[in-house]
Parts: sequence; C-alpha cells; structure tokens
Amino acid sequence: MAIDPSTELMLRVRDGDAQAFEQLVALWQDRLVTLFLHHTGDHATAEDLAQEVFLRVYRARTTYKPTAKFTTWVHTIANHAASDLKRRAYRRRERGMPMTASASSSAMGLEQIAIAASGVLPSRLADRTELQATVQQALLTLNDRQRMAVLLAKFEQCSYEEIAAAMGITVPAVKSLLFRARDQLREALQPYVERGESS
Amino acid sequence: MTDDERDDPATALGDIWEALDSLPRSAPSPAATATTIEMVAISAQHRSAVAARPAPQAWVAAVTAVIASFLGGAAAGRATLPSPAARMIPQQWPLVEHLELLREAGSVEFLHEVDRRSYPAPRSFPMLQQPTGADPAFEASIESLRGGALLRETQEPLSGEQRRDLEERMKDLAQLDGSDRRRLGELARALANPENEHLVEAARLWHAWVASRDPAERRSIISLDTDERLEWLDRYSRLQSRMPKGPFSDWERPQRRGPPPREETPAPPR
Repeated sequence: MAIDPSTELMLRVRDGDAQAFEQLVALWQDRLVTLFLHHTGDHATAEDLAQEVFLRVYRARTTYKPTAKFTTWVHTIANHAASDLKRRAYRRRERGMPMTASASSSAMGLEQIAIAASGVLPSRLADRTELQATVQQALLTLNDRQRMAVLLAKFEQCSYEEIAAAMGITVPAVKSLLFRARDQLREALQPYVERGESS
Repeated sequence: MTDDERDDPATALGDIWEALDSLPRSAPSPAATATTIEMVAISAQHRSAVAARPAPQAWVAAVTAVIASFLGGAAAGRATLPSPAARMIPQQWPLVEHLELLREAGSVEFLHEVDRRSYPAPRSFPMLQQPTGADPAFEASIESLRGGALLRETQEPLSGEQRRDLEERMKDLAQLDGSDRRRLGELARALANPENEHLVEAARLWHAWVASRDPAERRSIISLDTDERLEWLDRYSRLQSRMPKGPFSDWERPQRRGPPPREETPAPPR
C-alpha cells in the first residue's frame, strides 16, 4: 500500500532521520501557520502555535504509528494546541483581563460585521484587503470548534471523517458544526454573498 | 453528480465556501522554518541533557548538523559553528537577558491585577536577614530593559562564563511553549514602556514579596500561575495585616516551609 509523503517523512523522523524532520517542517509550516492565522486572527500567535505543533511532533516521534495518516495525526495535535491556547485565554478573560486579538475580534457582533459588509460602501468592498478583513472577522465570530472544522475543510481539504478524527468527535457532529457555521457566516456576509451570486 | 447528491464539507458550506477563498494563505518563509527547527533542536538538546539518554543525543547531534548546513552556508569555511542556542540569542533578545526578571513578574495581566488590588509592601524581618529597600539587581534589570535593551555583547565583551550563562538561559527559554514566550515578550515590552510605571511598581512590589521568603520557597512561588499568585498574595497580605506592629516575637515569624497557612475566614470574592 502506498503511503503519503508526509507519513513517509514522519516514519523517517521516528527512525532518527533529522533531514526528514527538516523536510517535514518545510512542508507543513505554511499550512499550519495559515490554519492558525485564521483560527486566532493573529500572525505571531499562529507562528508560535505552528512551532508548538512541531515541538509536540518531535517529542512524540517515537510513539508515532502509521496506522493513521500523518495528516490526521498532525491535525489532531494542531487542534489540541489551539484548544490549549484558548484555555489560557479563557482564564485571562475570567479575571476580566484584556483580551487577545483573536478574542476581541470574536467579541465583535454579527451586526457590526454585517454593516462592514453592507452594500452601502460597494466600492470599498471591492478592495480585497477589506474583503479579507470582513471574512476574517466573520470567521472569528464562530465558536472555536466551528471555526476549526471550517478551516480544516477549506484549507486542508479534509473530509468529514478526517475532521472528526482530528477533533475527536463524530461525523454527524462535524456536519452539525459546519451547517451552523455556514448559517452564521451567511448571516454575517449576506451582502457579499448576494453580490457574488448576482455577478 | 449534482451538488444535492454530494455530501462533503464544500457542499455543506455552500456559498460560503467561495467567500473563504478571499482569505490569504501564509507565504513560505525559510526564516520561520529555520527558527522552528532551531527551537526544536535547542529544546531537544536541553531535554536530552537532562535525561542523559543516548538515543535522543544522537538524534540531536544529527539535527544540529542539519541546522548547521541549513543556515551555515556563509559560515561553511569556519572550523567551528556557534551552538544553536548561541545563534538564537539575538533573535530572542531581550527575553534571554531578562528571563529571571520576566519569569518572576509573570505577565502583564498579573501585574495589572497586583496594581489594581493595591497590596501593601511586605514587612521586613531583620532577624531573618530579609532584604530591605530596593534590590539593585532588579533595578538594573528594569533600567536595562528601559534603556533600549541592546544586546549586552554590543556594549561590553562577555566572559566565557557569561556566554555560557546566556546559552543556558536560551535553552530554558526554548523549553517554554510559544504562547509563554509570547507572554514574556509582551511583558518585556510593557515594562520597557515608560508610560507603564504602575506595572514596574507592581513588579517591584511582587519582587519584594518573593524576596521576603526563603530561597527554596521563592522558586515554588514563581512557578505559580496568575490565579495562584494572587491567592498567595491575598492570603499573606491579610495575614500580615493582622500581625501587631512592634517588637517581633516568635509567633510572628512567618511559616518558612510548606503551603501557605490556612485562614478561618473565607477569602473575599475577587
């Protein structure tokens, strides 16, 4: 049975091949930073989290078994790393401390995002940077699990089964997360989505 | 197959799927890759030194060799290369230089809360040879942070021992996870900002409280998280407020070891 390149590299890492680890980092760094960037809304945090994932991969290398794809394994580690970060942020908020960029963006109401995305300023919406910011903010209004499911689907092209394995939930739960995320994002991005349909 | 028949995440997300295309993807960054490999190598080196296991050491040696080849094109002709920890020091400045101060101070959030709660200064017990007044090492560290936090080596040459000390601290720093390093980085920036005098005052007060305990206890106090530190401060400052002022007697002597003393009255809600 053919194995995917990342799994093959990870097996070499497990066996002590340092060059394979370097290749694995080169192969995955940008993917993980992208995933975490849209999960947290902050580039520096995203790079820290990606680094944390590689550290965990390295530490767990001897226990790696190719029964699951490396992709699923690393997505699981990424999900745990993001959850750990959130737990720490939650404890800060619990004490009424200032929120991180991600948390404060999440606090932005749907109403505000809908205004930002409204057709009142169509020329501004044409600006890709602003569009990115609007979509990013809308994404940050989702809860963590919804957002992770959406990002794994969109940026990592994961199937329901792969998302379920990475997040430790069932396939119906993944479907439910994605449907609720779609409805929430659709509400926030209604003007943009309508414009896209009409053009 | 029509969309209705398909059952995959793209179909589930419907029209939102396209909207998500506007989100950028992170560009490849050889520097970030190199930093990641170095941080993992330093961390691994530290752990293997602690565990003294032959297999990881061999692995780390191999990783270090790869890093050297990855980064060391320009330095290929050199007889020796600086260790990964030494090369990382400039990137992690001023965290490496002030790691002890920053670890003790904890976080911006903690200092904000210390400032907000207006704790009293700890009472000194001269018989216990506790330090009184300002601690020159603490003040020098704050001064250095505020002075632009230049690499110490650019100001004065380092001795071999100082260099090894810095490398050890770099290894300690590499043991922290990314969010902890980020927290300490935020703290360093906050303490360096002259507008945050209240945070420096809070750090100074906390330093005085930590210094009022014996060395063994200090280490365990510093390892407490924010909530536990505040709980510790609440407890000891209340205990202190109940002590009569005047000549010391044995019962006033603070508990030297073990957990903080229990109180009969419940702690007020925070």
